[in-house]
Amino acid sequence: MLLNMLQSATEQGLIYAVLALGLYISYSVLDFPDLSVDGTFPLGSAVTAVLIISGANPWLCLPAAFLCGAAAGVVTGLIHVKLNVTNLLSGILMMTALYSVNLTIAGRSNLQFYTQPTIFKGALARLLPERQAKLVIIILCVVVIKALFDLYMKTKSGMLLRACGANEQLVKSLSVDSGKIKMLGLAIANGLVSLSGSMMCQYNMGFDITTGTGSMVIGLASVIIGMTVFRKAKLMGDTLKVVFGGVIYYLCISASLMLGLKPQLLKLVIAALFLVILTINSKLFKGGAADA
Amino acid sequence: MLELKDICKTYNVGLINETKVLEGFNLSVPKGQFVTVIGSNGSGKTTILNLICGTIFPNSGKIFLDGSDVTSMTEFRRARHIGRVFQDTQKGTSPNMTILENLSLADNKGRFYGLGMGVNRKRIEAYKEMLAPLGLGLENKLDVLVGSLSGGQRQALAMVMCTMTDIELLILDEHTAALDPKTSELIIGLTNKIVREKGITTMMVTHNLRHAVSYGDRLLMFHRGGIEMDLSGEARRNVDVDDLLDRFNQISIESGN
Repeated sequence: MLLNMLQSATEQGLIYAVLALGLYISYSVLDFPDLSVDGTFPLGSAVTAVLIISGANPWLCLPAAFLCGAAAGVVTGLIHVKLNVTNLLSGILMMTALYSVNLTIAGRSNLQFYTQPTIFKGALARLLPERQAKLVIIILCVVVIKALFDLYMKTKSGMLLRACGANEQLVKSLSVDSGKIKMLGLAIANGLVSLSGSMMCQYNMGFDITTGTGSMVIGLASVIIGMTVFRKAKLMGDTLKVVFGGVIYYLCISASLMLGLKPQLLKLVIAALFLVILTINSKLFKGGAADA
Repeated sequence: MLELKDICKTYNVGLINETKVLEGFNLSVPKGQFVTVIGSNGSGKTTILNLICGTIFPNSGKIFLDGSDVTSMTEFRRARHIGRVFQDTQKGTSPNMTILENLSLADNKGRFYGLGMGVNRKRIEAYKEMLAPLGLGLENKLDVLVGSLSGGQRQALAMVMCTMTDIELLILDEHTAALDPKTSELIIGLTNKIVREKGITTMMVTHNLRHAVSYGDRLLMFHRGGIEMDLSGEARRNVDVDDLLDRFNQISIESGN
């Protein structure tokens, strides 16, 4: 029983790790607190639910969700860069607009597809032992996504993205439009968030409009937990820290539910937990700025 | 080479704090000339540099670079032809990346930043040769994060990065002002070496009068949006720090402060 819960918490934590990778780009790399995430996570879910119900290949839903999320990210970027709206407000506007978009795509506030195929029920799953199938497939997805992500960060484009968050002036000095780089970063970030939404939707075999609420906090908490807990681990790359951060975070949440926390108090606990992490984090970095 | 024609620049047009900084400003810098610029605070030096680089745009007038009109060209497009080193030593490099990654980024300036690998290992020897003459030992620290370097080291790296691709104009915006005296001497020496070796047209703003008289082929003193003093050739060679100080004091008395 306990082992089962631990496994399902790890599975969901790993799905949220993909969301956390997206947040890592917008929050850590680009230094852009992007709230559109609360809209792009359910966007990925809505697109996936509709595609699966209409009979599409569940694996194709993943890139489809990524592209939809990326498009939304570009729009957030356009609002910020072209219309000079502050980064926080651009995200809030996009999140609000996406709520209606998501309802329009799905047609209603929740959609179930218990009998349709998902990535967890296809040919790949049949090759695996039944009890571990989900976990193995999720790990496989996360490994591929993380590998592609790490590879991208080493390309010229990825390096420019890292430079843009740390020193926008340098990007301009290199004769590149820094606005376009921000849009690119937001596209990748929201693409990953939406991809995570697609996986979660297939995992739950349904779309629910409320899943988006708090995505930003979940992702951000995962990023910060990962970077804080493993800050001394020199050999561990940032992305691996973020992935583990996502898993740790979700394990904590599951543990509190298991210990009898009332579900209606969950968001309160999430916010409190996040506050604690932020406080610890700022204390740590104040004490050891040289570490950063 | 660089030409500013009849430039007017007023900040906060139509507001109560409207400030006219430049009115009918003209300047022509021939190819290969190394110009040093001095002037008190508020004399318009930074405004001129910002106008040349495209950080701000003039209310009227034209700016030509190598014969082509760049007046309305955006900052990042103009940066293709102009290199700029700032007073703030943080602005020329990316702290979250290694020296090697920073150099690789700068090496690709003017070309497309696509999905090719960011670091070209074949260029490492060339990078080491660029860093060795600085005498800072940076050539042995290629994998060190730039954020952990000192201000002087970062500024030296910024100089190398902004002159490693072909540029037509180098803008130095009080680039030694934030450094300690020893490092400041090192950077100014390095600057002179790079500028002379590559023969880049250069405008260097400085508050250090000794630097202003010891380096460069032409000296400009700005005052209230105009050129108070423009020395080159014989007159430039004979001027010393005391002459400049006298002139500064004279101006200050005339303008009542």
